[in-house]
Amino acid sequence: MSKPDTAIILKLRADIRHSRVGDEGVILRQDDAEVMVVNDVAARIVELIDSQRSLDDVIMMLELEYEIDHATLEKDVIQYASELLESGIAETA
Amino acid sequence: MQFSDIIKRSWNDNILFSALIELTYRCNLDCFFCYNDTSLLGTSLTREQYFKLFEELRELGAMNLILSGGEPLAHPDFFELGKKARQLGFVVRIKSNGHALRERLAHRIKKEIDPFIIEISLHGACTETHDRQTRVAGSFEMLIQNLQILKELDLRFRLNSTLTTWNAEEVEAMYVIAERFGVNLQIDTTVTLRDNGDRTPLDVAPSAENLQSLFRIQKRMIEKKSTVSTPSKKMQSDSNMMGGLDGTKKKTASGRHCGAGSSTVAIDPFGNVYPCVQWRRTIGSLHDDCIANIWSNNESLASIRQENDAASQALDDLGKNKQAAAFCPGLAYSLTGKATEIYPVARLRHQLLVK
Repeated sequence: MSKPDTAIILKLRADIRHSRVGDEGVILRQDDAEVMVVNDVAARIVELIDSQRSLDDVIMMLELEYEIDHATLEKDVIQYASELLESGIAETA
Repeated sequence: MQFSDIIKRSWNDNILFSALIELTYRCNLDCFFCYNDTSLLGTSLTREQYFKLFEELRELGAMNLILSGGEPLAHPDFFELGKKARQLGFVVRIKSNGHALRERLAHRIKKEIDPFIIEISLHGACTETHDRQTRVAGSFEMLIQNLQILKELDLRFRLNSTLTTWNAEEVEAMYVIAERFGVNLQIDTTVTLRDNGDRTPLDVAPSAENLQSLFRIQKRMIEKKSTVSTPSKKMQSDSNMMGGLDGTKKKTASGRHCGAGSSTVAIDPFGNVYPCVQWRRTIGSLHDDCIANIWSNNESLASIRQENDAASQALDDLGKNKQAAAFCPGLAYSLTGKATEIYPVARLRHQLLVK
């Protein structure tokens, strides 16, 4: 699967549920009862995607919230978005 | 970090993860051993109060919302509340007797609420036993028809059963029913007294022989399973989610005994808040305060958390494999007045399983 462009808007698939437990995130894929535990930044990306922002917007929000430089964030967000698409957690809006 | 670590963390850090909502005590069945106190009086929560509660629970970080009863479908706002829970992003679980889950309602549940799972009560493997426990003629036949409908609609469900002297001989046959529908059957070995202290339900509590027989059957099933397949990653996740996502079932090596009052709450139809469905010690009322305040500034809850810690230590007396006792501090509290008192059935279970 090719890496998504940052202008793209993703949304979570309908069977995805997610929440925070402290600084960790829990993602549940209801259809196959699979649960995933993710770190703080990944949990935040999922939250931001859930509100249907473009990856550019997600990167901008993360820049405001975390002390991570733009280039690193862009690379990580694109990589993680690609994983979310591949694993069927997210899809193109 | 594993999901079990997350659950452990929610217990130890008092992170509210699951809320069980008893929407109503009305029910279309009349189970002999039902624990609900149907004589309890009070002012029912309104739809608006539920909406506010759900929003606050989500703000507190709760992931699971369990709609229970009585029969939750008997609540006039069931669908509105279920839809709201879905909209807020909860993992919704529904505990139902399955009697009313005909095609139209089942379809609406799937379409409007999309629950993670519906937990349905199975009381026996034949009409005589199931209907004897539900005290409604035809309930077994109706249930089996409805399970077929759920399966055809591809709704996720599992079967729950409480082991009693009446159904103990039918355990294997109940597993066959579950297998027929391709779902799990979870058997609870504890019959509890009613929430008002009435001990009548204990008349059908399983005997030592009943428990022994169940454990033999379960052991055989586990052995059979392990010879035919290795659990896949998905199955492991499945067992986590089905058994543990409500935040009450996972066992820790140390710290809290369970999530009662530290990661779970239960709320009755009149807005009384408890640490869990089993531990009926009121920690607040939603008519007087919001859930965030009840959760964070509460002497009763602080004392319950301490008792939960003490229960974990008290269990050390049992020696190895203490989790085999399936000890419940809430049940201990209702049976003996002390959450740390190891009651006879827990000792018996431990003795039978560790032996």
